[in-house]
Amino acid sequence: MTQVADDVELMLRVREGDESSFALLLERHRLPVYRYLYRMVRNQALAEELAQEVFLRVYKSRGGYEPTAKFTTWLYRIATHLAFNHVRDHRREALHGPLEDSPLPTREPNVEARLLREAKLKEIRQAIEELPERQRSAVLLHKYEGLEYAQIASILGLTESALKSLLFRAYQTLRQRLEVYAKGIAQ
Amino acid sequence: MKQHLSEEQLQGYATGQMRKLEAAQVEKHVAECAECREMLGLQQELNQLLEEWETPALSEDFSARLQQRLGEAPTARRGWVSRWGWLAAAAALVVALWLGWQKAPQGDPLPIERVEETLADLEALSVLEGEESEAL
Repeated sequence: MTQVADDVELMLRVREGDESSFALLLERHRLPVYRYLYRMVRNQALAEELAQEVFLRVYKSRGGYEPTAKFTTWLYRIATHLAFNHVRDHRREALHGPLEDSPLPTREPNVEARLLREAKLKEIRQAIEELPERQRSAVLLHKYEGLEYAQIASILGLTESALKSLLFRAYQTLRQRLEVYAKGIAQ
Repeated sequence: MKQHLSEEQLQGYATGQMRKLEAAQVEKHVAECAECREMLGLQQELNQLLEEWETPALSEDFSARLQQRLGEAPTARRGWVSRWGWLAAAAALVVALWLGWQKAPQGDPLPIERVEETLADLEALSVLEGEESEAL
């Protein structure tokens, strides 16, 4: 029976100069990191560039790596730091330029129902875009990356209870957007 | 359950991450509380909408591009060795220049090649230190 090496074990091997372990880590995490960054910045080329930078930093820092936390906590802390920096540096541009977006799924066979669904999807994406950056990051890490509360709290530099409040405020805001929209459609 | 559902309960139930006993309590509550029923419905719809948010595919050459950049990037560990190496080289150069100046006849200017070498070494050292602090 072969045992799959966990991330920390792989990173320790990378620290010792094992390039193939870095390739395994890259293979395992490149897609989730890219997707997280895409949802943060809503631009494919930029998300790829930031994802490259994340892995470059991991590689460059390998000599000083110490397994004091889960590997993904460290990885997403770097990704979040880069995304926040980008968002802060380009806030003005984002206010004036349209955001690129992935195509909406069109599985709904009924035209009217499909249009309603698409409108709601757009509304939610827009609502996420308008969340304060830490709330946005918390929702994306919680919803898509499957990280534990303690990990997300560590990434965002919060206590676990502060993270829960932040996260729940974000979900409340998103539900309200959905509620207002649903009521608007009904009228 | 007289109080309304907490956010944690809403999240837990809507994502299916709740023990059976607690889930049964939530179901009992929402059967009696219209407000929480509506909230739970909205949360479930929100979760579903979030799941439908797809992203464009990652470029096929992502890893190849990264490998190329890694080949160009100095490593942190090598950087530390290089830093001391450069410091030693710079110190040796300063000593050599000083000795050379001492032996040269009074008033002789420093050879221009040596000045250029010193400047190039100092520039390389500052670049290296910049890269190291970026890596950290």
